[in-house]
Amino acid sequence: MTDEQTKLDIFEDVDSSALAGSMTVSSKPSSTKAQPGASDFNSLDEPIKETFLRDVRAVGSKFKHVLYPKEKNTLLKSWDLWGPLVLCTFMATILQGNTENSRNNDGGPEFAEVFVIVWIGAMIVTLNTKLLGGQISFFQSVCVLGYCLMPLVLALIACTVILRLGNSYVFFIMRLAATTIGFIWATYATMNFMGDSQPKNRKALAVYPMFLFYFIISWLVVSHSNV
Amino acid sequence: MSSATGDLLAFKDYDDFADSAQISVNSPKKVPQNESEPSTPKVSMFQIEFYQQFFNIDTAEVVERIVNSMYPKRATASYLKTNLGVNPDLYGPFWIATTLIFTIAISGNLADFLQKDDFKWHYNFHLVSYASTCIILYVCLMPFVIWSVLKYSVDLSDDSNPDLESAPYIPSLLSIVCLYGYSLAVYIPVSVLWTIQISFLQWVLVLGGAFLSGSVLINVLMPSIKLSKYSLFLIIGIASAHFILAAGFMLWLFHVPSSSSHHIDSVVTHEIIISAQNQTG
Repeated sequence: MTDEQTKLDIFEDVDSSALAGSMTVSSKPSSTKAQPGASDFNSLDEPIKETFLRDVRAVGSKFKHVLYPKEKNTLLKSWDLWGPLVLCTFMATILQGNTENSRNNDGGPEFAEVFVIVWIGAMIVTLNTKLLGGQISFFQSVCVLGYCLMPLVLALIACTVILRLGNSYVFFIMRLAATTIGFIWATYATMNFMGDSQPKNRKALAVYPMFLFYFIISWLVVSHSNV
Repeated sequence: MSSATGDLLAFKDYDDFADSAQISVNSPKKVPQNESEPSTPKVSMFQIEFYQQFFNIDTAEVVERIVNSMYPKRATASYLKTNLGVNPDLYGPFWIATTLIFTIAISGNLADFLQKDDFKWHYNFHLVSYASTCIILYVCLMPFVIWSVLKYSVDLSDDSNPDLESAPYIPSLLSIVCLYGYSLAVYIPVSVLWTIQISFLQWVLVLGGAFLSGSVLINVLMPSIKLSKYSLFLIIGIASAHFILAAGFMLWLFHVPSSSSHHIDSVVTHEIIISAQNQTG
């Protein structure tokens, strides 16, 4: 069967040359639509090490943006929860109370309690932002809140080092100072990332829960006295 | 089959038909009807928009409500009906309760530290759970009790004009929760000041805080309470519960003798538990 015959079988009374014009017009837009979504690199045939390192570098650059909060799009546009998970696990491991020896019990939170405070706390703060009508997606906000724990983790490391040096009035003041700096830093970085997401007359209502969230975690950090 | 046949069979966009369909959807003029009745659209309670109506509030209004909850006589008698009842928010109650839970836990630890004055001291994180249990129960249970007593004992059948400001009115459960949440705001600075270890000052703070916010509570709820036959009972209940909440926290966490005995108790129970564990295991 030839081409001419098929056409004639289906559309007997239609002029084939007229149809040829409309075919090209209708088929063109669908082929151009597929283009913008496709990425220009292919991760299927690259070594696993490269894939892994690319993700690690992405997380690392976000940490850098938190510690030096100047440019806000990296954290907001490509959010991930790897950084918050790492930070939260690290904090929970260090902050957890010693439950084995009850005489030595420092009354600190359990591992799971730190986890719950960080994740549920971040979710409640995010939900608050959404309920007030903020223009930010749920996971963007959880990502920012989690990454901005970075200064407090640094403060926690400093506190642990100071605790090993000794535990007296002077060392306590040093711990307090380290935590205060971490707290201010974390709050400032979060404002920088999320400050614009609310209308002016509700900004304070959205910012206060973030302040409270970091304040509570700072309290855990400065109260931690179990080496 | 050739490509020419494939193209013949491919779908085409019929622009003219799409346009005409849109016109037919828009043509029934329903817009003026919607504008005439300002009823809120029905939103399912599983959507975030349903909860946004409880957070529809500005910074200035929150500050205003907090101030109103602390200054007696600043809020008018119809405050509950004309302000809280119209737009009850949950932002204030939720964050005030959360803040109070953590200020009590943090300053309770601080008071304990000041009493011991020892750098080998260890903090007690679990005050957070005790404080949150008490405060959440208070904020949820008390409004529910007041609301159900009013619902049960007030008869609204008399045919007075409901539009009048003085007309009998039973506040909704949500607006009583809102009122109670804001009434806790005065205890936040009070709980911070409780860390000062002077017994007299602590009692002054308890009485002052309970009087300031308790009198606002009673003053605002008064128009509805008066309608009930248990009005005296309700007033005494509201005032004493508000006072007991403050006095309880102060005696338990901040007061010198009671706090130290509490610690001895906890150490003793710990040892009992350990000996029991050793015997069984």
